[in-house]
Amino acid sequence: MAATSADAKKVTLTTSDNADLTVEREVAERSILIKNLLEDIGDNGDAIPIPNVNEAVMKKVLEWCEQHRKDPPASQDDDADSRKKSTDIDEWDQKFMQVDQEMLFEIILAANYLDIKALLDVGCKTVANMIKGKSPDEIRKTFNIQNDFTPEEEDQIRRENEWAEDR
Amino acid sequence: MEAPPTPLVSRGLASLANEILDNIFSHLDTLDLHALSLTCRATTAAANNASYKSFTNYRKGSANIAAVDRPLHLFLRTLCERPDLAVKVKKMVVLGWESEYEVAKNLDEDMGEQRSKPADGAIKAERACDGAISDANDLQTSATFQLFINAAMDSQLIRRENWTSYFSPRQMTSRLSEMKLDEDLVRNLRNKVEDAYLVIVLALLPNLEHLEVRRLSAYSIMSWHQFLSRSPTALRSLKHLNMIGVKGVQTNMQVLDILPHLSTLEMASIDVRDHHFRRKRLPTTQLAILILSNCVFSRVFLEKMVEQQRLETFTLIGPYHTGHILERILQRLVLSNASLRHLTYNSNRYSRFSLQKDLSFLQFTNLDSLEISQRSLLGPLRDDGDITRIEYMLRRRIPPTASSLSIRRLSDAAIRVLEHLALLRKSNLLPKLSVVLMHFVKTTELSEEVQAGLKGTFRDARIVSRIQFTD
Repeated sequence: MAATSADAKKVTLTTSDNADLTVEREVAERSILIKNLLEDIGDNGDAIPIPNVNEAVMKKVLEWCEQHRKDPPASQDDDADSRKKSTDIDEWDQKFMQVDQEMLFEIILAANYLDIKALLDVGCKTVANMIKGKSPDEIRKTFNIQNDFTPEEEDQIRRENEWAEDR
Repeated sequence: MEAPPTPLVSRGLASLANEILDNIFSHLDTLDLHALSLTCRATTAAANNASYKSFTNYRKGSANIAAVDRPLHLFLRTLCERPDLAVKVKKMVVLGWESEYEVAKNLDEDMGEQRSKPADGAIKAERACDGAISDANDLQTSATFQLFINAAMDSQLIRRENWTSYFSPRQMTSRLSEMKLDEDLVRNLRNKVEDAYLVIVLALLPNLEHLEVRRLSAYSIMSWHQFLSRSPTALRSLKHLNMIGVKGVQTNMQVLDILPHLSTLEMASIDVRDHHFRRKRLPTTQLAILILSNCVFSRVFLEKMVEQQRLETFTLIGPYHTGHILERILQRLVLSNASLRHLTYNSNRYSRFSLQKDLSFLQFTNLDSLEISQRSLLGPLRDDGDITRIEYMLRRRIPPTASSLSIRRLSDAAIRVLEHLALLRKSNLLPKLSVVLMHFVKTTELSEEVQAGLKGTFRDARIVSRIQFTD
């Protein structure tokens, strides 16, 4: 990593709504997408277009990247089982995720697009925590979802998953 | 918070890509996933993806066997009707056996009404509504029975025949023998015996990789090998098998003969009897982890387990083995010489036997951790500590690659082992040794003299706790 010797090199990102955001390269490179782009095209000082993320969301994402700029890369032996059910989120991230639902989903989509795995996981855990312990009806209310099942479909699913019911 | 709630959430939960839903749902348990499957069409598929990855017939945290609350027959019913869900199942944990009545209680065999098995989970569930069996329930029961029978025939577990009208008197079955006849499976299905359900469940899960069976029945069970060997797919993807018995369980473990991809085998408290040796070795060539604790088996069985395998972990714990078994098995582990990293041999039986002088663990060129009893490592020690013997044995038996050493059942006389280990470490004969665990039979105090001698070598000079070497 030549980041330290490069002494806080900056990159400029152009968002979908044509705003230019300039950040330190190390911060932007929390995004694997941006990191790969910079490696591929070389850092020629041109602004990097991020056509799928608007300014408000990008600022939020960069705020997270700034906070987590020194995080060690995620370990690869992160096996699915140990990750499962652990919805612990550190305090700073919890506060960071206290946004309205639309922003929450925008952050998740941006993290997915920009390939920032740790941020994506925090977002997904936040949503998981909003689902925990709720009934189907409560989930629909929480996320403003329509029940689009026919009664027959609903019965069929209820029957198929009867083994998993609370009893 | 500041934004007003939008009437239409264009980018809400229901419109997320499946890979993101999979991520979110991977953090949720079966009950939450169940709710999500009933929330809307968009969440059903991802909820099923997550919840059908594994099946456990009891809920997390319920230690009591009475708390088996995910009836196997309901899961089986879905597997029969939805093969597309069955292929998703990778892991299964069974805390078993509510329904071994047929043998356990020696009930008379009749299909009829007076069968009242009070604790039968399956029956309990079906009678739960009003305590009486209605005609509708009878119909339901026979439809389910037919469904299961068809699945058994389709999977080639039993021959095609009109089993619905079949009635068999129960053969006198010895308490200790397995049931192998088609009729046995049919009868047990009709009697709602969970053992029979499990056989069909296993036949319907072609991608099952991980199977754990806890509290294996102490009574005669369906022969997995007999039925499942007939299916071309049953258990053929299994990589990890963990069988835990209760005291006195006897089984032949013949099922090992049909597991071509087994990489981890863990058995505890199982008495292996009547295993046939038509096959001299396991069909898998990938067995890496073999853990046998408190099991009873013959030397030939153990040889079959390790033959031609490149083990990474080998654990043998229990009161029933003599050192002779280990000695013979070590000779069989030639292929594992470079692969074995963790070796545990802990026989807590007092035996007069001690290892031969020419035996050592030095054959394992990459051994990282060794756990062993004092007797196996050092042989019997005289009360005065037998210093030359300790030093000789430590040097002969512990490979220089070892970073962790755990010695069990140490006698007081072995107190000087620590000093010698420290010396070997300092003189670079055991350069990697960093963790030493000393388990004494009796509580042992270090004398001041010894403590002084160890000062500077150990971070912590207490015995029976983790002792770190420092440079």
